[in-house]
Amino acid sequence: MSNKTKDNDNYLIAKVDNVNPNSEKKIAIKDIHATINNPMTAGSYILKDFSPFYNSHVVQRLIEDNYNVVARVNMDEFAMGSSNKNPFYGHVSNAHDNDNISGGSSGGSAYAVAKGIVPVATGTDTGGSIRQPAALNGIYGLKPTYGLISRYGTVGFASSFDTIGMLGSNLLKLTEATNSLIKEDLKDQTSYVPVDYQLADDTIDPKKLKICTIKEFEKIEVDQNTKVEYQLALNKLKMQGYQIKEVSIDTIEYSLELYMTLAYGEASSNLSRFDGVRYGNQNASSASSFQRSRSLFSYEIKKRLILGSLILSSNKAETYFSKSQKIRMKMYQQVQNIFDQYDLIISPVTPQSIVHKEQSTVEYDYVSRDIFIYLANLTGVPALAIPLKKANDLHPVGMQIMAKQYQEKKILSFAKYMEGNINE
Amino acid sequence: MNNYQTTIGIEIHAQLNTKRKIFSPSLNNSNSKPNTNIHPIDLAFPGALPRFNEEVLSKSLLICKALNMEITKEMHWDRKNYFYHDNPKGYQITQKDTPIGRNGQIKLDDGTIIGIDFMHMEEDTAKSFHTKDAILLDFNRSGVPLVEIVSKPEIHSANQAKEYIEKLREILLFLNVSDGKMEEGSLRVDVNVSVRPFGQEHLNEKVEIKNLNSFSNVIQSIEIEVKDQIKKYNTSQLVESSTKKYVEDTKQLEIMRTKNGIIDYRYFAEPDLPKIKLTDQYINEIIESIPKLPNEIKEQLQEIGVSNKDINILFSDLQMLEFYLQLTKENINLKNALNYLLVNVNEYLNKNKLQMKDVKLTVDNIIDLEFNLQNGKISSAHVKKIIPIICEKDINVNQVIEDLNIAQITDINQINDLVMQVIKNNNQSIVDYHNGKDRAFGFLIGQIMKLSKGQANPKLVSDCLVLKLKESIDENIEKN
Repeated sequence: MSNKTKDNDNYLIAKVDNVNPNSEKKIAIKDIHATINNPMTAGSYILKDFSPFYNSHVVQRLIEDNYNVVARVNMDEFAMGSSNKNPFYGHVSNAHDNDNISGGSSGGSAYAVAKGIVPVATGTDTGGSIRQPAALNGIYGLKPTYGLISRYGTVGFASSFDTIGMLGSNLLKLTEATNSLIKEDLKDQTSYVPVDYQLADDTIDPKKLKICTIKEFEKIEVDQNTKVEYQLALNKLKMQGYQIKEVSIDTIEYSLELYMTLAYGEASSNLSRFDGVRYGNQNASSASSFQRSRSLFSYEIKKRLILGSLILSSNKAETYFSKSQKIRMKMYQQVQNIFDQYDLIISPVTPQSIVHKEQSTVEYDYVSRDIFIYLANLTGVPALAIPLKKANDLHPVGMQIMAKQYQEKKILSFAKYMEGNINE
Repeated sequence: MNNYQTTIGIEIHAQLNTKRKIFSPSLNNSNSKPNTNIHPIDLAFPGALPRFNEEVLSKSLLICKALNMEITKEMHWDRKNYFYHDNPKGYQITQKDTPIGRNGQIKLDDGTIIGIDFMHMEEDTAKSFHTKDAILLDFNRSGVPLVEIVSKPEIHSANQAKEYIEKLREILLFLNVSDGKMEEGSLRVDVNVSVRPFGQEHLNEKVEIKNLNSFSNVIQSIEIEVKDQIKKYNTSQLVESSTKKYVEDTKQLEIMRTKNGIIDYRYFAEPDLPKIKLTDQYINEIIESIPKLPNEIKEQLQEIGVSNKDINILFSDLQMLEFYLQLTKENINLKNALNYLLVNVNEYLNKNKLQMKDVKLTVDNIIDLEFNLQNGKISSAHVKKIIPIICEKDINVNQVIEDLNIAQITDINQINDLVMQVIKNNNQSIVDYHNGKDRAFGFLIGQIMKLSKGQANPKLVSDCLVLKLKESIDENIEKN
């Protein structure tokens, strides 16, 4: 924990000096990617002072592409959370309104970009952790197709959801930085990069894209700020000749439950390695004292791990975990069917665009959060959050654009069109 | 005692001798210094992801084929979650739902077939050493590939159990997929034992005995456990399902945990690894390369007239067996060749406490040896002298014969000279011979051999002497 004088410095975990320091291409990284000779906390106390001796795929690619990695930035502990009220490294404020949250878990990344400290910052998105803070801070946030970017060396939360992506102040820099990360990597066998796959925002005619919205999303109550801006954007699109159809995905009403069941289940296993035996805060001297090490997790993590363990336990797994997997498969199929007919699905990013720091995390997480966001994580499709208001608006609103797997180009071309024709 | 039937099921964990570990690029070498074959993956560092080593797949497929198993073409990995200091990730990657092979079998010598329920691939844990005040961990073993082979409960005695393990071990060795060293832990045996009255349909509670590291421990444990269970049934006590271990010092079984101590492993499908889909073509390419299996080789040896006793001796040293199998491809007297190995070479090995793999002997050595013997250049007594030398040194047989100066004199003129010299100097013996004293002939042979320093070919000497003696009679008659 560095010498932070102001609350505004909380976005920063530590400066990084030794990765291409003379390059003009500046980037910040979420403190979740292993970097040789640099500590990595993943926002946790259990990994305080932990220094990996290997590079993550992300950092390796940034080094090779001459990115100047200037800082490791704050996040929710182990990327679990959506407020970035980190109990160990400080709460990150919204870039435009100090009283509001930055969002999470990539809250430090969103803050650094929105404040103009760096043009781009990496993020990870397991259940909206790139798109939600991007929307709350009025910037772009891309969660690519699951598997497009190798997860090797990036701390895992829920392996079948975790997706590495980018937050950026504009589309061009975001695309460029994301492209640096897209390279085949045999170290992550769940990753797949099609031959010569690179993102671009100008290869597809945006006017030819067929757009739909999701009926089940209509029922969700959104705040006035979001309602106004989102409707305005829809109307403009219609005026410019887009026919926006409504489709139905009936499994969507289980999104939150599916996400919690599956992601917490996986997390309870993924985080078992933090036992204090081999690295990190080494409190464990024998098997029986693992609990001393694991008491270093925050309340939020403990809660999720306990829930996840329960969900996987032999007398509950069939009811919760297996059933959720089945519904997830059905949802996946439904989404594929929609993308047979439409190019893009659009929606708001978050129902609540203004979240006060004092608002209880529990209420925010489980009542009104992220309901638009889980679909992309549950089905692996790419999704981009774009700002609908002018930069530096006190209370930004985001729109989410989704496409079929490996069709980021459609999203980016449409986003560019929005940037030029709708949001001026 | 005879009123009860014993039922045994056996679980075997065999380490595969692949070059690298199952999910990391670390070397799989049990002889390395502790904690040298390690990688962030083996230590479960944050962000490290497993990557499956295909060599494990091909070796496992060979085992499936050898055990006549049905091969699962679509597989996924599962996580078995539990905390222990030797389990760095907090879970072991294994195959709970989709084991690579199912429904195999092993045939015992008496024709009994023991069914194999399934075989799956998984990773080994770190090795722990308990000292007085610490647990030392060696992560070289963390991630070593294992196959777990689980028999059906179709074994009914300690001896059958032993034979089942022996056969399985033999197969693993012949396939060159595992070292199969029980004492070093590359082959680990757990047995499940339960007894029931003859005629009872269902099986009674079973007791698992873990980590038996020798055949004698397997037999001892089963015998102790069977006796214990029968005693309990006879005295109306309950046999409780439990896990035990064999304590070598006391030769007793010790309870490790009872039913109440069962761990919930919270299995679920491993999300860090993709599914494995095997095509028929892929499977066929791998199992085509399967080497000959023990049973086939035994039949082959029986066909060329090797006795069962000798077959067993050959199978006790697989390098020697391999050596002999190479010899069978050569055009030589196989009976002699087998004798050289089983008698002379084994004598050398026993004397020097060596194994076949330690000796310099080559197939060409044996061919040369046999060639020289057949041509009479050396005697079988010489063979006995030569074999230790060619076992010890990388040397040509002809060179040894020359060095020892033991090549037989087979040149007929040289032998004639020797014979004539002896006849000239032993007039009395010639007379004795003509007077019918048979011993004189033996004496003369001895004199000739002595003169030749033992190098004259005895057969030729004898033939020549007979001829010369006959000539000498004729001469005498002429003279008289």
